Amino acid sequence: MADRNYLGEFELMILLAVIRLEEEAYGVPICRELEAHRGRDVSVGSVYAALERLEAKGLVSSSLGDSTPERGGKAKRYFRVTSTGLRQVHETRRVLSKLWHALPKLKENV
Amino acid sequence: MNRADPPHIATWMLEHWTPGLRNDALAGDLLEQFRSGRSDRAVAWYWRQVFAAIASGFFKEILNHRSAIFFAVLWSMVSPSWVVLSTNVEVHSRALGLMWQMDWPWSSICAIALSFSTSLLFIWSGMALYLIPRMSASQSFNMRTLVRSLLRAMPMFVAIAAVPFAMSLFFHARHGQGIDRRTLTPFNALTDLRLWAVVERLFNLPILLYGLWRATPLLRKPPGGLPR
Repeated sequence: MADRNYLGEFELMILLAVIRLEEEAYGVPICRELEAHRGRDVSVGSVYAALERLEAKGLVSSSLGDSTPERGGKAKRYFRVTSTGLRQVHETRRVLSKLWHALPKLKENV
Repeated sequence: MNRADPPHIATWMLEHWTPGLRNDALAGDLLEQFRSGRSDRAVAWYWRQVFAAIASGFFKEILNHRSAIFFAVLWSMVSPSWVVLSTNVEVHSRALGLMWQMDWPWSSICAIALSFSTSLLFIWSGMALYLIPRMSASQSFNMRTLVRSLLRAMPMFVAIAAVPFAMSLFFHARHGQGIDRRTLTPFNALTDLRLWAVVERLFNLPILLYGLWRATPLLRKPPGGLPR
């Protein structure tokens, strides 16, 4: 049976950004990806809070990278989507698509 | 301040005011974005990000400790009943009656010690009531950890207990003056909303919150070992 813990909107966006960025998925590119698609600023703190929630649920895993001078010697934390996370993304997409298709046609200006 | 450096105060706040484990990756990300020259409003952006990170850290901590917060509120509501109960024990105990027959300053010293120890006993019994079932459930119960957890409430207890003590010492004022607690029962003290009962609850709430908050990390069982 499919897992019933569907993803929240922000969590889904973050998972999609992590999937798209592949090996380069750490805080800065994830935030830029979200900002580019949402069209507004993203709080880095809230992105980390969501990523930590996703990690606690076993949907992403993280590892520390090298520290660089432009980051004040602080290491990057890279994120990867786990197989459970990937399944969850597909499941959420399937349910959302079914719901969208079940809607009557919306007016353009809505 | 160098253009390449974010405001030092903001960085200090991020490092010291964000609750939980220090998040170096987040601090590094903010610095990298700041230095990559986001815009001429970079300083304002940095401040906004720092405040958002601190707020989000606090929100996460509150969520992580929600059961401790709920229990602390509940247990501090019971504190007036505990005061009434201990007053009744004091009145009816022969040994404690002898205390008042002692010469000054021994009678005062004993009264202060008794007041402190009954308050501390209330805090510790509440904490034990919360911690023991959780430790047992996670199969991490051990007496040393429990004692360490209880002792973690001490700094706040000493700090808060000093306030009514100083008030009684210097201003001869004591909350609940004029109320004969011997006429009360623990049950009606539970629903008492008069000032003395409210002060009693407000006195215990921060101590319990602080104690349980600091004890929570001790409950986490490290993989393959005893709790820290």
